[in-house]
Amino acid sequence: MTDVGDTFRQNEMLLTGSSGFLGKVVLGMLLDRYPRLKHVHLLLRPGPHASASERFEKEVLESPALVSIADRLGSKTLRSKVTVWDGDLGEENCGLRAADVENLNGRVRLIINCAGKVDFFPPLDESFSSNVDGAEQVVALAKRLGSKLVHVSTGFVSGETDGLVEESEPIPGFYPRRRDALDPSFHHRREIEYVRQQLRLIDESAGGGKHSKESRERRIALGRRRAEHWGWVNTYTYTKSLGEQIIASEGDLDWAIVRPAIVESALRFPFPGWIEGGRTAAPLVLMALGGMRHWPVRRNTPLEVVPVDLVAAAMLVVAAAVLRGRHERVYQLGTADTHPIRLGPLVDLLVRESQRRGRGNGGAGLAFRWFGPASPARIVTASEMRRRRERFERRVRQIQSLLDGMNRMARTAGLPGRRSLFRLASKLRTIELQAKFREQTLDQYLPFVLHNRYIFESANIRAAYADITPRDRQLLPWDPERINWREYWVDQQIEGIEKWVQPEAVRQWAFKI
Amino acid sequence: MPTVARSSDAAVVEAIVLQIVRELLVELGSTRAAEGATLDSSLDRDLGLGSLERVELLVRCERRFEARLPEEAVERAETPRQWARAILGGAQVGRATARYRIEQPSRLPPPAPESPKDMAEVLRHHAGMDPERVQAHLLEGDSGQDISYGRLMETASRVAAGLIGGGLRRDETVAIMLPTCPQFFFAFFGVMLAGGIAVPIYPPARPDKIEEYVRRQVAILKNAGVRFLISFEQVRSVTEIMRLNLPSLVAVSSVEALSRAAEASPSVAREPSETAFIQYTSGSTGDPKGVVLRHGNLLANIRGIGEAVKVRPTDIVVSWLPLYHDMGLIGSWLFSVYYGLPITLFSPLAFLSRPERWLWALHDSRGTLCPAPNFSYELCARKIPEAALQGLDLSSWRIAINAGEAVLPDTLERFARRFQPYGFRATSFVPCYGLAESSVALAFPPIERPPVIDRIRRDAFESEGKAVPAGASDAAALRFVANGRAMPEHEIKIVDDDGREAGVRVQGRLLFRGPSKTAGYYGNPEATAAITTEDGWMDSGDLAYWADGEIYITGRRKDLIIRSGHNIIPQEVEAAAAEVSGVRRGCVAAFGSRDPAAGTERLVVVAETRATAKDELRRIEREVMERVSEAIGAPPERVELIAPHSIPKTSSGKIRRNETRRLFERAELKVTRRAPAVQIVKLWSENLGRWASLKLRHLSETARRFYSRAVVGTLGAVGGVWARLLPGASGAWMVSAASRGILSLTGYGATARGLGQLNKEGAAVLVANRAGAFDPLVLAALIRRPFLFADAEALSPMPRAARFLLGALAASPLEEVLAPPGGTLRQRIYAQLERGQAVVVFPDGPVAAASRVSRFRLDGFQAAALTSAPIYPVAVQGTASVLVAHERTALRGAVNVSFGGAIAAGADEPRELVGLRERVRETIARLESQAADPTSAGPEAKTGAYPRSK
Repeated sequence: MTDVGDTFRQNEMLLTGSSGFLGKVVLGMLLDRYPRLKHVHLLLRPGPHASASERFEKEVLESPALVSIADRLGSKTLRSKVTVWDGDLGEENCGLRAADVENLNGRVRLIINCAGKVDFFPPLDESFSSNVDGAEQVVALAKRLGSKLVHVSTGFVSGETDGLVEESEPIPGFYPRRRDALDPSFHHRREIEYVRQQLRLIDESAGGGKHSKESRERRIALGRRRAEHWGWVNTYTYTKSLGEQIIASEGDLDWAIVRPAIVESALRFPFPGWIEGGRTAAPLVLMALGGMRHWPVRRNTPLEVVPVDLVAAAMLVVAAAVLRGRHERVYQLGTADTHPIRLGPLVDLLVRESQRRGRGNGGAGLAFRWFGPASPARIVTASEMRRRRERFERRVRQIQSLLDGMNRMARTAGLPGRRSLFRLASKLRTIELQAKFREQTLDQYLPFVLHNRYIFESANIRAAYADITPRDRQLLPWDPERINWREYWVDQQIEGIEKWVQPEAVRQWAFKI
Repeated sequence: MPTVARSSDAAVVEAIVLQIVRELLVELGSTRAAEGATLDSSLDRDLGLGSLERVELLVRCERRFEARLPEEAVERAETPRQWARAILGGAQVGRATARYRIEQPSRLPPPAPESPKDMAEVLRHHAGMDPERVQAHLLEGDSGQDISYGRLMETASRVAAGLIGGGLRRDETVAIMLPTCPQFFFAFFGVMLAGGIAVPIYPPARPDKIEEYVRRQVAILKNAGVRFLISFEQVRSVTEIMRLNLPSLVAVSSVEALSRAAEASPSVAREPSETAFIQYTSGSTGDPKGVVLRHGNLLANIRGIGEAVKVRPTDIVVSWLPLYHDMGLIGSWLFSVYYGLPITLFSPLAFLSRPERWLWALHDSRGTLCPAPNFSYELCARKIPEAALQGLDLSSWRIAINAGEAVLPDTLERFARRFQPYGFRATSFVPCYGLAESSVALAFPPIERPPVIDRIRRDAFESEGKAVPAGASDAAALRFVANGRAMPEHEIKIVDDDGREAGVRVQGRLLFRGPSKTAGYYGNPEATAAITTEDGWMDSGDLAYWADGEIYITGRRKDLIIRSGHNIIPQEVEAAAAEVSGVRRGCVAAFGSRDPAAGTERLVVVAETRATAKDELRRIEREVMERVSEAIGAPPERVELIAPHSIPKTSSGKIRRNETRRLFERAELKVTRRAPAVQIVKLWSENLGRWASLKLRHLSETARRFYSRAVVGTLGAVGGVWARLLPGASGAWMVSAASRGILSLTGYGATARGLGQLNKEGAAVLVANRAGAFDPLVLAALIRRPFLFADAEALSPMPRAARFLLGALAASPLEEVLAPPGGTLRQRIYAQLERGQAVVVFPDGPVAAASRVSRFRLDGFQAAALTSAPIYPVAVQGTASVLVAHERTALRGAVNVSFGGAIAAGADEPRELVGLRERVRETIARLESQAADPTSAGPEAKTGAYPRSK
């Protein structure tokens, strides 16, 4: 029987990525539930105009997730329990100064690595520096400090999958198209070596230097290509899997890997519906609210999502188990294993909700009703989706050429009304761009809703919960089977996304267009 | 070069063209067509002139008008009038400006893949490493296009998806009937990625021989049992007739149609021991011989060639060899794919119409590696005008492989002499030996060495088969070219008629073995047995001798002519006869014909000539007699002069001496051929019955499908309703009876093994693998005790009625458990086990996944551990291929279900459960392999005849 509170009272921990969505909730929950913990160190990258502690004050403590907890604890307690260190995962010793390393040596018993680059298709070197170099550095640091390691990965490292992802799947040498555990085709060292060599090649040969558009595009393409080659669905999961393999190949280190599903808004902690960042299912929700009616998804495929606070709770339990030396190697944190939400009902739910609210995105919503009659959600096949896209583009082109023609006629005949024609044309252009962006976004999600089916076996975390005290079970609940999906999606996800995500996401949209 | 005088009167040019066409027709033996030819007759349909003849026509017109004609325009011209117009309107096409520009690769290729398992993996490797890298420069006339690894991979994947979507399964054959074009590449790798077996065959080239062509290809495709035929639009009339004769064929399609299919599907992984493609060699019509080449054979052979020629990353391959033939396919193209070398490719017709194109392609791409048969070197040495070689540079050419037919010393000398001023080195020559049965290559001489030529005494060789070195002054000496020794990992031995190893310089049969060796002829065990020995050697059918550690090939055993105890080599006779003016070079066949009266063989020479006048024919006949007599010391018994294109040749252009002999003996050599249209009509009339029966078969298939659906629908609905009305065990019995009824009424039998090991009552967890959609139905029919399915989800791949029927056996949700509604899977299984029920658990994941990687949830094992219920592994086989929802074609195979003995679950500990899952997985895999092996058969039971025991 593991007493989580007791374990944290006896051991100091180091947390990375505490400015991220998950990191904040982990830190918040740790401070909220176990205020008597021994000490927690945070590794934060200093910003361009702020030191790590300033960033901690501004970005972490003032975030809605922590602000009330920080108030409650008071700054004095906080200072005695939390230390912030300047660091950078991509650098030697994770960017810690040698003196700091000396200071921490022997004190930190466990590193929890929450840091990571979660963009799906970033330039490969960026993804590498946090997910691969980062993993290497964290392993090195853990060994220098003599601590253990809990590493946050993602369940989607399984890549192309149809069905159950087993926790017992051997990690080193894994690639999604592997035929069996003895398949020698893939070795992470060889792959990393190759990628670094290719990146050097791009650096040397790309026209316009390292920061040119061409160089960036080639680095993005390289990531996409390598991922596709082995069967990963995007650069993110490919580099995450490489990171896992670095850790799993490490002989003299005590480690556990946590693999959450898509991390979604909070079920209960810090408060229902809290979410941050757009790399969740938020774009899908926004598209549904924006009036999308035709969904290329598989009706019976579950969407592997998990509320962020469940992940944070499970991670703390895993951390305690690792500190006590009673742990498994891999903990997958999914919901489809016990209590799936299937895509058919989910899409119905989202679309009906958006209709109930009776609005789209203003002009775009109007345009939708014009281009296609409003109807309840329809599940379409990929080819039908393509046909619809083509039809849409054809219509836009037709109307564009009609407007062009009218404009020309108006000019030659000297008729008035050219200004309103111009306004119409620019509106059409906006609609077209929005549609294009929607397609791009949707394409990134197709691996999760159409091409593959994911069910993450989550037996190990259930076993870990059977091993903790009833009090801890109450403090750190892991109960995906109790989620009321309808309430969760309608009252928490949609509300939360609207409240916390939309402004940010819309800014990014504008930037991308 | 002078162009056609623009002032020429159009009418004059038209008249001349028509005359040339008529002359050609007369020479080809189509006198009737020649008489009927007008300015507006279609060359193709009315006159029966195919692409080869067009090349001939082009060469003649160029000679006549002393001009280089625009090829594309001429190729499109359909009638003599259009030809004339093309000639008149054609501007001079200069060589230097019009050649397609070949970009040199900017970086070295990535290293070849380490230990790939199949050809598709090779492509995947290169496409992954460097997708923009150009794989092939494909020249078409004077234009061309580049095909990158990425494009090759992408289009091939879509073709593969189209094939799989169309119903192609692992190890089924796909015929590829395409000329040298990008589609061939896509089709070939499409088949590889789809896990099929490619059967490349040559496209029809001669309209006037269409009947013969169809009969021949139908025999081949029947033997191969092809499921798909990938072809192109222009030959539809031919493929339509062929399709009627091929019952196994599902569809005739094109690369465009196949690649239009929606989504790319994951490729099928193959093992080295699985067949990659079938190379049909020149067997006679009744007895096609398809050499089975496995992925392992191909890869071993390619690596062997690479080692023999010491391949470098800077090498560049050039080839005009046909892709449906081993030397062009494996020796050139797949070789270049494997090593990531760029290849410059163009069609054999383009080579034949302008042989200099080959050399210019080498020049333009800085080619280093190029294989070609002997005759092409001869053609270059003799036919290319000096003017066409201005500025040519062959100095980059380091490996000039000469193989595929007998290598003649004279040719090597002539070629080296002629092209030495253009930078060609005699040390580049690599005369090597190979055969389709050994993938393609078998023996190589050391590279960077001029050809070694052995001179031997004629008398000793012809009478005793001994290769005694001849003196320098011996004018009658025979000459052979050294072919080196076997490639690494391969072995060659030369044996006499009793199977003992022949000594040095003694002629014998050449036997070989090694990793490139074929597994045999496809669907032809007799022919396979005839050439294999018990200790793993294979007879090449060629004769050879050893000298100075190298082999010298002397000829084919079947072609050898034995006249009054003397061995005569046909090639020698043919070469001598071909020297006579008026005889078409390369179109002479010499063979022995058994003379029943004399008890020995008569030497017959058949030669093609364009001459038609009686006197001229008589002169040629006399001169052939003289020349042959000079060469071998005695005249032939018979000289037969025939019209061009009458001697049968293989797809690679080799003379088929045995077939010529057969035709000669049956006096069928001089058959006049009917017009192509007449031949097509004849073929159609022969196939009318087949066409009708095909339509009938479609009809009966539809009826059968309808019947099956009706049976499943009725029994499913009735059984389902009854099962829900009846209480407990009777309901289960009802479902079982209805399932049995469905199986037997639709004509499927399922076999069960080890059913007796199941406990008759009490809790049990049955863990079954998932072989096909209908697994639950088969289990319901076989298991004779009440049981439940753990998860209704397992029923979803089946048709609705079957789902309804078996839904009666799905474990019901738990009422008292509120979250999640109905309880978790583990809770449901646990509740059923507590009630003493048997529960069937299927793996999660794709239907028909290999059992050793099937993904079982731990819930079933955990529930078993909690209730101490025994676990029974169940292996289901065959439902994937027999019971397929919406299957269009005939169904084959049998359904097998094997039950294993009970496995006791241990403690409810994560580690123990994972171990237990592993054990069950292994047991299922073992049960599967036992069921596949009939010798270990246990007690059996069939659905139909299952005893109604208590």
